[in-house]
Amino acid sequence: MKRLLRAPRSHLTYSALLLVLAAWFVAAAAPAIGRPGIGFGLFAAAFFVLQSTAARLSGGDPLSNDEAVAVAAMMMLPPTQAALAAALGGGAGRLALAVRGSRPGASVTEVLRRFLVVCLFARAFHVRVPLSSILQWQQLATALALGAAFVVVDYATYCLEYSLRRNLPLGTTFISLIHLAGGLALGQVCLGVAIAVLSTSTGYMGLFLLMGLVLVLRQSFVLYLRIRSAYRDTIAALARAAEMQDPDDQGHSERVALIAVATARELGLRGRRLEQVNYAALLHDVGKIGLAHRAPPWRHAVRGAEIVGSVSFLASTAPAIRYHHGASGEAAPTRMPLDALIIGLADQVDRLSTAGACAAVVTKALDGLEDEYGPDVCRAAARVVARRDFAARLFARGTTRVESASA
Amino acid sequence: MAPSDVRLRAYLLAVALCGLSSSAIVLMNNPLARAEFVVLLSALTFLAEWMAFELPTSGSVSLAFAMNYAALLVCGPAGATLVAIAGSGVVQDVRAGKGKDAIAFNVGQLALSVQAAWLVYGRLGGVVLSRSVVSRGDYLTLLPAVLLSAAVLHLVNASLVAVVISLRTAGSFFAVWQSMLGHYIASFVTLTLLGFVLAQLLVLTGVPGALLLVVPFVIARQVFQVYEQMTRAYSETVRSLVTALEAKDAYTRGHSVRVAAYCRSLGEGAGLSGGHVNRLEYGALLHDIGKLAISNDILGKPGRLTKGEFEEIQGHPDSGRELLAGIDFLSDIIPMVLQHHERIDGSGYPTGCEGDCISTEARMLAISDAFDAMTSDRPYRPAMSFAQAAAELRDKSGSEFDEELVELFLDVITPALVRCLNDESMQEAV
Repeated sequence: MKRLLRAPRSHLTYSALLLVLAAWFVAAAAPAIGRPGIGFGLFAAAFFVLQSTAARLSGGDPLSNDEAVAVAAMMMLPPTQAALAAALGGGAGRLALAVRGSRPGASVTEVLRRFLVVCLFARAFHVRVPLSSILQWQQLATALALGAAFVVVDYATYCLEYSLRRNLPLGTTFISLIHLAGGLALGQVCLGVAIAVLSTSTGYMGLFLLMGLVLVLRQSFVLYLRIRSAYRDTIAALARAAEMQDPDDQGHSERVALIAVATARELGLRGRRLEQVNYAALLHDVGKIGLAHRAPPWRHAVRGAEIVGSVSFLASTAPAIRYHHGASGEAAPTRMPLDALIIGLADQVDRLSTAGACAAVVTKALDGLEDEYGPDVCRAAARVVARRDFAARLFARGTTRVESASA
Repeated sequence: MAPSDVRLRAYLLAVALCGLSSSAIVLMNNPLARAEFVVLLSALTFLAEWMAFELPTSGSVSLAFAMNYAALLVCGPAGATLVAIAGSGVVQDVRAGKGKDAIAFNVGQLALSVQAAWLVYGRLGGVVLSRSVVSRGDYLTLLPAVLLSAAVLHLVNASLVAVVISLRTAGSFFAVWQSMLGHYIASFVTLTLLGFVLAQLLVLTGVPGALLLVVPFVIARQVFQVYEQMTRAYSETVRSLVTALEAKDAYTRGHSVRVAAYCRSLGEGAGLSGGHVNRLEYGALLHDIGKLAISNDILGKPGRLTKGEFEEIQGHPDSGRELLAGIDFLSDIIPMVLQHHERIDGSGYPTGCEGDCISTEARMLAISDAFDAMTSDRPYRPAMSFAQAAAELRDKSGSEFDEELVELFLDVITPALVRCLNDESMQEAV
């Protein structure tokens, strides 16, 4: 409950809206539910299995990848039953996940959201592609297109909830989710339609036969997400090790990464380039490990570049780390790498805000740094600092520090 | 030419000839139905062979078997023979630069397997699937015939190939055959059911129905490949980071990588599962990660350490736990890292626990760690020889180290391996 209340107000409004809509839908559809048969039970069980073993995204939110079962349920069950199976089975699965440590608050809105989306599309499926005519290829194509539309709406509303809760821009969240799991969802939609096609001849046999495939497809994704987050966690752990060398540095690398990635995004960098900036920023002080305290800054920059340079998957971040304190220590390159400028500046911003500077002071200081870091990078960083979500993360911390110091 | 070569040659040719002549008979006696499915399935088989991929646990997976089987169900013997010949093997073999006789053999054995499976299927009441058959209420009574004939397809295929392998390696036919069957039994069942589903989709919806299975499989393969790539990237990154961080100190250079190699051998010697050995290796690679948190002034201090400094060094297992706590993937290795300085008699640190409360992995790690420390140079003494180190381990077994594991360690680790590992680290340093 506490967590729920701590969420941004827009998120609470959103949850309330979902609740009202869902109640209205249930009230309107209650007479038309029909008698739940074996299919309802089977689909609810399938939803349960998939939700309770859902993959987790890097933020810890589960992503169930149950599009195959959802599409098949929408095509094979009466609309309200399909939505109820998704809500009940999925909800129970969520509960099982929550027992293993997830947010119950987020789960409730998530179940309501899913109920509504499935309700909406189950109707569309019933009107457009009745099961009796699915064997014509035109109908097959319509089913696939509707399935794809379902994925888009499902993911968009998932991202809406996610971004409201975390105060993130909706567009970027949606694009990165589609990039990560869109192809997989498309595969799931194909399997869902296949289950429905098989049901015309062998009933629920197809659901049993293809459930294995659904799980294989999902498992590969779970494995991938796990190793990917292991990679990120390990880099973050190394960054923490670098921070342990200096007690004042706690959380410094993560904040620098936050500022640097946002600045890079402002400058128009995307995809792999952003990831590179993120890793370089997290590791920019890694050379401090094993270095005497009072060594000049270029020493740790050089050593850090050496360390990441020996790792083939991180080697591309070496120049950024080498020059994040400028070129002191050796001859300057003809052009400073952009990543080094971004990270150097993010480093300065974090040092200023840690020292207690407020947003206005930092913005003013950024004006004065234009000669060193270039006007583009400085202006991009100024836009980032001016953003409200950043102000909360960077400056609130600084003021409490100053207050507690003066008290 | 050796006599076994002659026999192998003769066998390959015989199977190729049998296959070709039986194919000719089948093609002449059976009308070729549903040419569009034959073309589609041949293309898919070709694609499947071409895109065969490695699974993390169960070896290479190719869907060709499922395609061959689906062809049998929807096209009958003539179509299935064509699909088997056109799609399977040939391209793969030519690309791998195999001899002409091997390629002819492959064509022959596939044709023979498919035809044998058809015989069984027909005998058990199976018919070529069509929409009317599939829509019949008693359709699922075909399932036993489906499974049995698939088993025959698989058996004949495995037996014919096993003969080649046993002739080539001079091994026993039965042993080869058994290992082939055992290895693929799980994927065989999956692929049979998949072929069955594909056949149903084809007869129900025609060619577009194949897309419903092909798309998910192409995507699954893609995800698996990205996963494999990421796994390699991860293990390489951890390895080289540890090496790079150790490089500052000539005396510990390569230490963690060597300890990881010892632990891997020890784990394999103890019969641990593959995943378990991997965990052991990661734990060994990262066991001293907590030392990163110790200031360099203490680690590199030449003279005697004060009590406080010594305590700080003894805190490194705990700092290691703190650093690794954020990495979900490695949560299993934390006890290892935390306990690698504990001793069996309870005289170790940080908690001084004894006996069974120290995990087996941590005991393995402690032995490997101590052994590598002994067999490499230290500021205060040169490296010990293998025999000296072994004597030292035996001397302390029962007090510092687990007795059984010490014996196992000395069984598995040879002087040659030690020399080889130490030379490698020297070379990397240069």
